[in-house]
Amino acid sequence: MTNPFRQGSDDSLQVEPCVLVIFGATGDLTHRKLVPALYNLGVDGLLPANFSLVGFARRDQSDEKFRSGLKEGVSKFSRRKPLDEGIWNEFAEHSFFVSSSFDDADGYERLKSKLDEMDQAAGVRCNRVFYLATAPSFFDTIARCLQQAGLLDEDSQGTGAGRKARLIVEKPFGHNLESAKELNTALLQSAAEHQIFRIDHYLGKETVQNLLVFRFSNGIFEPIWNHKYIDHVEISVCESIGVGGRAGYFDTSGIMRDIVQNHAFQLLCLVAMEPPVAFEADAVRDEKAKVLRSIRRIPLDQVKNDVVRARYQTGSVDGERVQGYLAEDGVNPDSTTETYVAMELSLDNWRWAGVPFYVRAGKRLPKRVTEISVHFKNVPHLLFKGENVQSLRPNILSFQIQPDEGISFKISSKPPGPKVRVQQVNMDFSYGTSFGVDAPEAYERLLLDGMRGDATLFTRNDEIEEAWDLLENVFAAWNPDTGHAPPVFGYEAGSWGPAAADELLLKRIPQGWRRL
Amino acid sequence: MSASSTSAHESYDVIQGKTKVPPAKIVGELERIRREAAALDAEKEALASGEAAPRVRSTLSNLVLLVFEDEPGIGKSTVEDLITELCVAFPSRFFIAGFSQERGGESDSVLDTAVSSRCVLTNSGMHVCSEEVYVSVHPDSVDLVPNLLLSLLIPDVETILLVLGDPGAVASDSHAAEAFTKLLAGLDSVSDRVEYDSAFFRDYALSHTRLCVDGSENSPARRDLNWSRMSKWRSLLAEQFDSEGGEGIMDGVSSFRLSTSVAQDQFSLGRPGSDVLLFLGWCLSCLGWKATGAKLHKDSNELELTVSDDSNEYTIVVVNDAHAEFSFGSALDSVELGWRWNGKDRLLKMHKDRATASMEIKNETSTVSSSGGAHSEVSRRAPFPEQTLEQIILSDLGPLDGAAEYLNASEVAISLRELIAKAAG
Repeated sequence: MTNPFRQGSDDSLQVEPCVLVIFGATGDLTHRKLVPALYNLGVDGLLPANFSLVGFARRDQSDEKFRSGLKEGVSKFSRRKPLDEGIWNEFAEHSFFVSSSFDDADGYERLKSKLDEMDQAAGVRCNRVFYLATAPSFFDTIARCLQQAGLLDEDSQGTGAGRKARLIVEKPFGHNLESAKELNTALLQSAAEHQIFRIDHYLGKETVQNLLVFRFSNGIFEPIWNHKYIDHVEISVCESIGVGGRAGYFDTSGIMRDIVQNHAFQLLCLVAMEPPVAFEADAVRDEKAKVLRSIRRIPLDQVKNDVVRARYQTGSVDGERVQGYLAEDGVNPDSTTETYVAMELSLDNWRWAGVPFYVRAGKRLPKRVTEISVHFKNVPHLLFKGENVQSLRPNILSFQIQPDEGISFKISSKPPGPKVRVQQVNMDFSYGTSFGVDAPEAYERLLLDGMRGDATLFTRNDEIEEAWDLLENVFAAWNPDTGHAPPVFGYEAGSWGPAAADELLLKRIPQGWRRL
Repeated sequence: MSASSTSAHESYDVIQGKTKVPPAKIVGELERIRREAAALDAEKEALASGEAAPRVRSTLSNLVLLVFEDEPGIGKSTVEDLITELCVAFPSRFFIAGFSQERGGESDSVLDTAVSSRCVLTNSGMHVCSEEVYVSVHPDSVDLVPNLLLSLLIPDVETILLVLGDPGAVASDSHAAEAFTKLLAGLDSVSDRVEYDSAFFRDYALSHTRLCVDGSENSPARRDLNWSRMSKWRSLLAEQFDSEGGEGIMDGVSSFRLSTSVAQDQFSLGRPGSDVLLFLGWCLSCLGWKATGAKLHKDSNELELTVSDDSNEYTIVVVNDAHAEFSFGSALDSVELGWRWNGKDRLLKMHKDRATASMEIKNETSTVSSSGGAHSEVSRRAPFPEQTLEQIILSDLGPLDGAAEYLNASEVAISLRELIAKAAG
């Protein structure tokens, strides 16, 4: 029976009573991202009345110590400053800590008792969300222990009333196709697919969500969103920082696994997907999975032509000299790990036949910027030739994901004056200046959705496996044991990457990469 | 915008201030300036009882100004006025890189950077704000500049390097010359084209060579603002021959004379003025003539050039006004061209009148026959305003035209200067 008091109310962001348990609660992610995001949800009044936070980690510490650590993180990393003591105190009062190793069954029993106590105190059966902010090697163990302790049990299989239990998992989801399948299999032995939320924080960014709104809420773009009008698409994920403290992890991973397989491919999916039948989790994820399936697998002998890998050498960034990748602490001096990758992808489907998608990602590039640019085909006839116009540049629609989220459309225009000249100008939409409020951090949206049980902005197991599958040949070709692996080019730190990456584009796109 | 001041610029109310920041903080500081500018607008809106003063923030280019700080013709106000003017007419992100042969000042640091913004209330009642990044670098560290710029450029708009000064003034074998070459090569690599003004050049060929450090196909297109300054000369001369037409018209050239106003010591060194060389370069390349010899008469302030086509030889005389003071801008004062065509002696005199900002154009025709002679004279005036540096730059910042003609003219001008330099000893 429908609740008469709910009639006409907007409950789209309503969160049922919920306890969030963070595994790895003493780590960097918790302090820099997760708890500041929760605090901001609190400021916006989006946390449920009975919200509680439980930290679960090996370190032995009191609730008080845990809270003071969290407060320090929020004060430093929250987008809202200064800290609102009232909101913080309310939040801290409902924050607790359970000390245990991740494979200790007793620890999970203590966690269960704690959660039951909290339910009793609140007088409700709170939903339980378990956030795995740990190294991937612990995912399987934690999920299994949670399941054995009965903490993943649900009242009604995730639908209808009653308690729900969810598992949020941070990337990386495997190291290749085989390990990703193993991880998925292991997780699915402990939890059902509808309970698993694989987080890719890029999907929580406003512009990424706006990409869908832009495509499917503006009538003028969708009719031209195809091979007839679009020349090519570029996706760039650029960072100015080096590997820093992550050298140990990064050197075993590389930019292809760290950025391209997940963030860049997810962005590609949102640009290329067909309109979903509804803005619902499985409808959206079905379309994304179809895009990944349609991406042509690069044949082994073609990898050297379609994929460029490189690593940074000495150079300068922000006016300071920086060392090359191989000289970084924690990097194997014989490493062949790439810090830059550029690749050409083709989609074998009706909409995108013949439209190349270029993806590049790199570290120690001139600036931190993530952008998707859609390059339209040029006009068929140069009307103004001979009138001081030698050539025209095509229209470009660009979506800037970070740091300044916004959308820009490049058009040709006539500068004032008696001569007919053509000047490129931008029509800009910036979140910062258009809405006058800071866009929420990606984790705010994703944590809220995780607590609400909306998986639209989370990746499904088949998407992850498809994304790994399309890189299988690339990794095989790069294997140094083959004896004929393509070279790892060098590029100056602070530059836009190796010349080989420019050549990759220049084969088909005379103007080269869009300058960011 | 930490401080407010009104610029000396007459047309606009300008608010600006400069904040010194380390390179890594520039982006954040520009963002802060943007927020403060928005607050200024909001304040203004409130005061104007609801009437909005919308901020215009389109960016057409990245404009990198390489300023020779030792150049006497370029004061601080020149750069200030230039940015104010361009901020309104050609909104850009400005990078101002100072180059001095001897870097002095308060700082010994490798790289000093500052940001600034000027918000200009335009005649239309709208605010337009600039974004300015100032870079001062130690000669040993000029290699840091290109990557720094790469991180700060507005995406996907043209990057124009504007060289303000005379690169030929840097002593050839000095440490500064080496630094300049390195800096220019670095700036070249991030630019789509390079604009310079040969009106600053003392030695056209030397300065030009300094500017063309790379010379490869990948180096950005180069363009001399003097070419635009000469456009009126070129179009008026061309106009005189529209009615007569015919390729062989110049076969009977009887005289070709130019007058210029450069300082006596410069002329004695075989430097008749960059615009004179460029104009001659254009004439010669249009006519397919080649310079074969040069004589410099220092006592009479005359330069005699021998030029030839495939079959004839001609003389071009350049006369200098010995009392002229060197001044920035155009040195070319007049052009006289005499030729024989269709049985008539023709003489075209074009004389620039600086006082009235006009050009006097005189056409004389003489006919000699067995029955006697006839002489007719037609004269008219055309407006010929001397353009300011800002106006010249603005006219060149948009899409370019006539690039091929410029390249030909410039190439001939360089060879002319080399020929004249030899004659000057």
